[in-house]
Amino acid sequence: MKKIVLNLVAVLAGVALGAIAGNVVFFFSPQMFEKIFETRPTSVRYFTWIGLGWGVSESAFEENSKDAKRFLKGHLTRIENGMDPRSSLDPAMKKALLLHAALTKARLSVLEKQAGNADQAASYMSAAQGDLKSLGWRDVSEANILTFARTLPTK
Amino acid sequence: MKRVLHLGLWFLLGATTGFFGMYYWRNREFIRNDKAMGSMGMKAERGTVDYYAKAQYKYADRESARQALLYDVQIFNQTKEASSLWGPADLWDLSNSYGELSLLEESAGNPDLARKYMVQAVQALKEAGMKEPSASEASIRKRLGKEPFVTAVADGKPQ
Repeated sequence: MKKIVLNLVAVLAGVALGAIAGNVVFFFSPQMFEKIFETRPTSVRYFTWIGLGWGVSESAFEENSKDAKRFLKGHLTRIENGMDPRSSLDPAMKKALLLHAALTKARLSVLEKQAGNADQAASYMSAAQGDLKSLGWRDVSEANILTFARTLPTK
Repeated sequence: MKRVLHLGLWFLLGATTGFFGMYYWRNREFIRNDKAMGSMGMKAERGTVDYYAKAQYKYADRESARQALLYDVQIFNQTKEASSLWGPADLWDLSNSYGELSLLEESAGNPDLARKYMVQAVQALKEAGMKEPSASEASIRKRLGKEPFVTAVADGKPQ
């Protein structure tokens, strides 16, 4: 009986000390746990940011927000990171990202045109046309791309 | 001596449990957020591919459209078990992808494949809880219209 009580006391004392230690570690280094996750780049985490970037930049573009260009450029950078040859994403997924990159470039072209930067607008449009051609698009005319950039392809 | 060692081991067991228990307790919100982020990421991943497949079906050549739609179906099947956010809306999208694949194969002269995909399109609608006549080949055909290639030829648009 005495042995069981002693063991129980030892366990409880351990739990108490361990809990205090866990609390102290969390208090001084709350980011440690997050870092464990952050050092594990997953496609799921990547697509969370892509999804957010897509939503924010699309809304900003549609509402003609003054931040639209900044959001679209940020979104384009994230997309290009995913298409990088060093990225572990599936080649088919990289094609899907290429479509998003083309759409983003077309939207940037519209914004640059509105801002009077004709050369920059033409450069973005030409890049979008190249991307879509490589995706097998039948019609890569500026008019068709702009229709696509302004409306979602609905089923 | 043996007694002290035993007590030490019990203490160590308690300390380990206490440490990780507290660490989990303090981080539970972060874990919950990460799980939510994971579901959101999967949803965004599927959304990215679905958007790509829709656009390719509408604007790209037949082979590119076929690859995109097949990839869309593949991603759907890969992620549906892993996410708690799947629902009838996703099955509706899946049905559309199978339906488009069916129309594409039909136009490309592959009737067997077209039939197979149409059966799967109807099945996805039934899984989403829909009943006939909504979950039928006729309704899918009516909703999707003509295959874009067929429409483009009819309209005299460039191929």
